[in-house]
Amino acid sequence: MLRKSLSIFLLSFISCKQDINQFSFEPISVQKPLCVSEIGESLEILEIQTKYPISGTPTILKSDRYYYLFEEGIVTSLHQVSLDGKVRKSIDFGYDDKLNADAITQVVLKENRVGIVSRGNLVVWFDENLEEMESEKLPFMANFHFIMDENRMISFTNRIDDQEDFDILIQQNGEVKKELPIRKDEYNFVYKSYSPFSEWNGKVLFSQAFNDTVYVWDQEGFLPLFHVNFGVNAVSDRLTQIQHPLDMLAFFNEKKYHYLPGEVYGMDHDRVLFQINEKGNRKIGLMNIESKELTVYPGIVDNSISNMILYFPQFSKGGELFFGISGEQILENYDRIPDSFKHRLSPEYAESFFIYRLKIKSE
Amino acid sequence: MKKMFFGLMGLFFLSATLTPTSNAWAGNPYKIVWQHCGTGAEVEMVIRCRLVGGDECFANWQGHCDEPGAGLD
Repeated sequence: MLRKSLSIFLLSFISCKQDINQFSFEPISVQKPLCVSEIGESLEILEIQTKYPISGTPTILKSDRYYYLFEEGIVTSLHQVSLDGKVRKSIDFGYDDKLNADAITQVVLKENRVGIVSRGNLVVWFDENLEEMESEKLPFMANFHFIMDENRMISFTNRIDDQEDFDILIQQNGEVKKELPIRKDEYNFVYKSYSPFSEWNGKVLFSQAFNDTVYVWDQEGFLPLFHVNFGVNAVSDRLTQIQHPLDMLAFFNEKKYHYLPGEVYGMDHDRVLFQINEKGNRKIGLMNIESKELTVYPGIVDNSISNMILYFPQFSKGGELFFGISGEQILENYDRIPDSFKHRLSPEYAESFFIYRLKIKSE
Repeated sequence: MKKMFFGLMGLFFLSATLTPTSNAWAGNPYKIVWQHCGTGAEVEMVIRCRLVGGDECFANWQGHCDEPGAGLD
């Protein structure tokens, strides 16, 4: 009897262990970058010429009819761009305006409208002519809102509200749910994110800086999808030792840790792409849910048209990955780009901004 | 480097003038937002100040992401 009980106990222990192993994956690093031809079916490169060169890394959004570039550098501007790359309209935001440039936390799209989110909870909607329409108060304050449809929204608070105890707020059919309690003992790290959420198989993926788990939100709820096991290189409780921004700067300069910075991109049925920071270097992780392989690449390279290093996408949508590249980057790599691509560039290409739109090849 | 220098100077100035008693810094009263710089491989962070409810943004803290990152060769 004792032997039988022991066997059942051991068997259940082994099966639990297998479940844990299936959820947590050790990354396998490769030296070769991920090539566009390996994952892409087709690539389109758009050159966008704005009145002044775009500073910094603009946020790229895509509706059915337009791209929007939101620039937060020396100036704060929203550019509306046709799908063939022509700038149609622009709005500049100042510091004395109704929409204070420093208070803008996000730009969102809903159907054919573009919304400027101020202070995390007020959206000012503009129509396709960039004429102001109306304002809308959001149900909660958050640094990043992901609007699924009229009845469903998931938001990453990213510590915008000191009174809030959760990182994730979900509104679904009038009900509000809260997930991921904020670790108040850690440094209050607030950061700019471009793709904390991503649509994937009708579900929504979520990734957050320093939390090495990718989550998924669907009808079943908000659940962990997989964990990246960085072993001894993981940040673990290091953030609890940080209280001051200077400590945080020192942490970044240490370049000792591996962690997810919180940018995730749904690809196709089985694959999820995400950024990884490895000892001060940004890399790209590819998780294949079906084959249970997690591969880390040093970046993505366009080996089909421009021979440019794309590093990683800014977002994914509808089976496509979107990358933003400055003209300055192309100028710096001019020697490596093929003549066929050089001939496509305008004479002022160095002051342009480029969107790479990669249609993902299904496996 | 210049932006990092000015950012650090700003932080030193503020840490000297606003002695962080208790956990005031951890509470992020000035809404520091950390931002990855550039689109390159190297992790380079700058600090941006965003307003949420006041005139608390100190421009000398801020860095701009205007330099491309290190390349993959």
